[in-house]
Amino acid sequence: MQAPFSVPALYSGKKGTIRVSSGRNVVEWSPSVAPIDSNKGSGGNGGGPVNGTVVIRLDDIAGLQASPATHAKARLRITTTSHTQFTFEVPTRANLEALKAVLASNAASSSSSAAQSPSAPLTPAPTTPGAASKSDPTRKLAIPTRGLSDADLLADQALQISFLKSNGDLQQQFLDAVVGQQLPPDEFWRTRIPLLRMHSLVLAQRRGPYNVLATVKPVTTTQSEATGGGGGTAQVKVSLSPDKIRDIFLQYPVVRRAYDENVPPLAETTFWSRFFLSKLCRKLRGEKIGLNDAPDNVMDKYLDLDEDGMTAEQRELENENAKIMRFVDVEANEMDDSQRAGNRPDITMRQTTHKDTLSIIRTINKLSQKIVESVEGEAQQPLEAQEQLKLRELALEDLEPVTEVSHVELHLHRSTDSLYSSTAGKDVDAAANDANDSRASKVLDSMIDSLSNSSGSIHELLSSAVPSSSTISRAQSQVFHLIHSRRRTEENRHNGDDSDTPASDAVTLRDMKLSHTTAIEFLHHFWSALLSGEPSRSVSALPLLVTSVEKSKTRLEAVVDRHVSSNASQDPAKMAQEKKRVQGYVQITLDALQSAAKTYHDLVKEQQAALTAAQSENKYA
Amino acid sequence: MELRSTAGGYIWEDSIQRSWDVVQEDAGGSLAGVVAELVQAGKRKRLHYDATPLQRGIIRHLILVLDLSMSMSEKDLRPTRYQLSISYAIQFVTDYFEQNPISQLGIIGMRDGLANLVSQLGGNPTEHIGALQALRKQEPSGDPSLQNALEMARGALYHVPSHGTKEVVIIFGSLLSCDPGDIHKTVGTLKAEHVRVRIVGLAAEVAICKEICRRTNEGDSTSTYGVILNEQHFKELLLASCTPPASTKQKSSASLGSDLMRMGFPSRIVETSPSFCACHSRLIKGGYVCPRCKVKVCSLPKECPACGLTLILSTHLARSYHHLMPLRNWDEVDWNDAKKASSCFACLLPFPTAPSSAPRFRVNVSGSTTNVTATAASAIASGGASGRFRCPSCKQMFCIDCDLFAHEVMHNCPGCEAAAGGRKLSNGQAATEASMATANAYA
Repeated sequence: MQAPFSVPALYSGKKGTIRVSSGRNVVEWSPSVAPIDSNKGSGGNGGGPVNGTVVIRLDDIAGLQASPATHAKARLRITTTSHTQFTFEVPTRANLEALKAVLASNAASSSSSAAQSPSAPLTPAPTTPGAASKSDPTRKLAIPTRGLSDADLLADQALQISFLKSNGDLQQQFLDAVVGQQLPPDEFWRTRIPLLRMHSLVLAQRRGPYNVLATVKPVTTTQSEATGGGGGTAQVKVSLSPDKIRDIFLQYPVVRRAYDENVPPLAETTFWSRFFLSKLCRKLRGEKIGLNDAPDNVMDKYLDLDEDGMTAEQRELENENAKIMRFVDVEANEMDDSQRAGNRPDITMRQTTHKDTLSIIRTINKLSQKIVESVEGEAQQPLEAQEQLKLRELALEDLEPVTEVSHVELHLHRSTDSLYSSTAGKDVDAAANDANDSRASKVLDSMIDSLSNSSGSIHELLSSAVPSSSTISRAQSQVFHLIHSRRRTEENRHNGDDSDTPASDAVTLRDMKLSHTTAIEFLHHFWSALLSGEPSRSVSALPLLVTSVEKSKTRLEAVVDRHVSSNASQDPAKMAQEKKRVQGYVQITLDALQSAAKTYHDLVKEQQAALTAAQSENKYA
Repeated sequence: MELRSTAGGYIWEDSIQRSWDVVQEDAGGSLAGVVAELVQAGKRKRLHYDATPLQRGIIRHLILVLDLSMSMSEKDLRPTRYQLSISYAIQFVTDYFEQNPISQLGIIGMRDGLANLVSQLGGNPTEHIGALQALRKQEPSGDPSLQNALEMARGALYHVPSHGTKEVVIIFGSLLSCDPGDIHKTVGTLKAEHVRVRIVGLAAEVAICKEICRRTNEGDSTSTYGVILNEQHFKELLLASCTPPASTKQKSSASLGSDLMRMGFPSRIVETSPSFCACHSRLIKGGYVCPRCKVKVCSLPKECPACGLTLILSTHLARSYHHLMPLRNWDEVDWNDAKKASSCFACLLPFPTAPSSAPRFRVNVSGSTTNVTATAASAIASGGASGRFRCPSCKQMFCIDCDLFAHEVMHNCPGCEAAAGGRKLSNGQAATEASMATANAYA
């Protein structure tokens, strides 16, 4: 372990010392004079300035940048993985080089050791809670890494558990079928893969980064009538969630700086209320700062800093180092300067006027840039690729030729047309016409033949069957009965009313419904295994499922028997009637279970017959 | 481009034509006449559609994506964009299942930067409508994310077999999409999985929407991405998605041949006492019994809850077929042929009689040509010819209302069907042969 390396350094204009301690795995800057009030913590993120101290974890460091040798001041900028930047100024260039070398080597070794032994206890810096919290909006976000294939979903137990927890009905079914009736969990999930996939997607999706300040809208309310006083006082209400505060800090480091430097003396609520009324807030929102805006001695200090908390001077330093895309590089395009041809410079290029408009444009542009860069896949592109993109954007898509989409045309032989052709069509081929005519007449002839052969002519049929009045009335009542019962069914369906069953059935019905649901569940698995066509599945799972299907049948019958015995009466005829009535509820299900079992046993018998036949053939051969 | 207006100046020098200026009261101060004319004009406009039979996927799987973000609280559509979109979505669900009974639908909402599942992919319109009604009580909030919604739609359509279409229809009221990643990658995967996206924009054309539609529809963004002009146009754009998409040459050459799928035609049972249905475990009288596994379901079409067989009625198939063989457009009849029929073949309402100038036209036909053109012009001005429309195959004449009804609701020609009956062939047989022909063509 190396001895801690320390250099005196200036951070945001304050004197202090920067220490690199590889044991604690952090870079720490502390001011030479301890701040007066040091008991107020903060929800700082990724090593924010707390109590005036800056703590950066070594494995959070994403980039180191030193000011060029020609520059008067020796500065080092550290960029963290959460896109926060810290600029330190050290006394000499030699110090700068040494600090940079130490940091670089430490960062490399810490990241490699972390990779080799992920279980090694990394001492978290005590002042950096929630450095990698989940809803961090400017963090690099990735779209579902979980696989969506069937096998992946079946293997993902954590996903299945979370899905069960979110869905009560399903949990009940799972308990019933898998825990209670020993259905293999794989079988249970196999029939619910689409549901599982949707749940996986719901869990995996994340919110994109957005402009936080634009979503915080102060609401002005006037309270005059309630208090009964004279002129009502306007109150501005702002609701802020912890998430939003964190997002504001991340997107506007200058606000965090103001917060950190002022909140110990100010109360938190006062800070936020003053912030939202201040010119600073207006500036960050991209609104114009009017003359009427009230001055605020605390907030206005930060007005000259940009939203990263850097002064214009610091920004200049950064710009010197930044690589500029050729596309927007004014200096490189000097010869194409339209101003030489007498054009007025663009509004953004004029020095004098529109200072506040310009700053608004810049603020909004920088924010959009930052948001876009935080999205995966946008920022990492090299300059050349970005230039290519820009060129593509220039192409006017509206001027491109329209691509013709070719569809597959159907060539229908409209048999109906040719059938009518003799009455209507003139353009239909005569031969086809004849063919169709003869075909149609053949069909007709055969129909007439079949009728006359079976039971005399149609006329006989009709004349012999003159119904008696009683038959007619019976038929009528039957028809009306059907209509009534159908109407009642429809009404029940609309009202959500299950049935008109007697109240004494309530318990039985509940049991029955449960057994019925489970039975259908097993039937579903049985059929899906039977029809899957996978030999492995039908061999291993089928016999088990058939037993379950048969068990379901006995269970349903048991429910019926229990009902009959609990409502026991002396009259055996009445009991039989009662049993029949209750069994009617599930008769169809019982039949279905029966037929499933029969299908399976028939299949097995067939296979065995085929097997014995093959064996006997083998014997003779 | 014609930049000159009728008055001789440029178009933009003309006075604005406001829709309320078009409507003028007649002498009696009544608007009835004008309104009737407007209605007629609208009907004529709708009459002509492309009747070329194209290969289409009639077993559809469609995800309807609704924008539920802040921008939907705008009041430019009455009462709000949000409420109107939900009303139209409900109508879309109804129409979609009416025209595509063997298809499935799911609904996803975009709210607060995330995609929420409103209803699962399924074939029961009441469930979807119920879910949409429940949405009415909520408020729009946050930003939409096209990427999250498309990813979720992709997941919902992941298991769809190759014979079904995968479609996404988005009602998009915002001008931005707040995405967690690179949406172009998502569009790439959608294209690879043959998911087709259509978008109805409520505000203005958005570049990424156009890009999504263009890339997922083989370069055709004009018919798949539309921005609404007014409420009526919104409805037209949305309901256009009820027609199944025509399969393109590229797609069908990629999947050569066709696969068969099993379907069951269950028989209806009538019961005196209720029994449990397999789909909802509810006590219900009557229902349909699956021909393979013998369980009871309460409504059709449905996938059998036990054996997974698609259970439908033959009428459902027939209803889906009309997209494959659209009824031909009927020709307008001019006054020369008009006297062959005095009333509509279908509804028997008398046709308008020839205008008084028509006899003059016949008398003067040899003498002056000026009269002829004058008559033709007046005939066209009075609503194009004689108000009669003739089916090209059976040559019967119909009025405009029956024309609309036949083309938009029945999808059959009453004249042709009647002719089939007249030839002493049962309608059933004619229909069966027609559908067999279609089935062959589709296969």
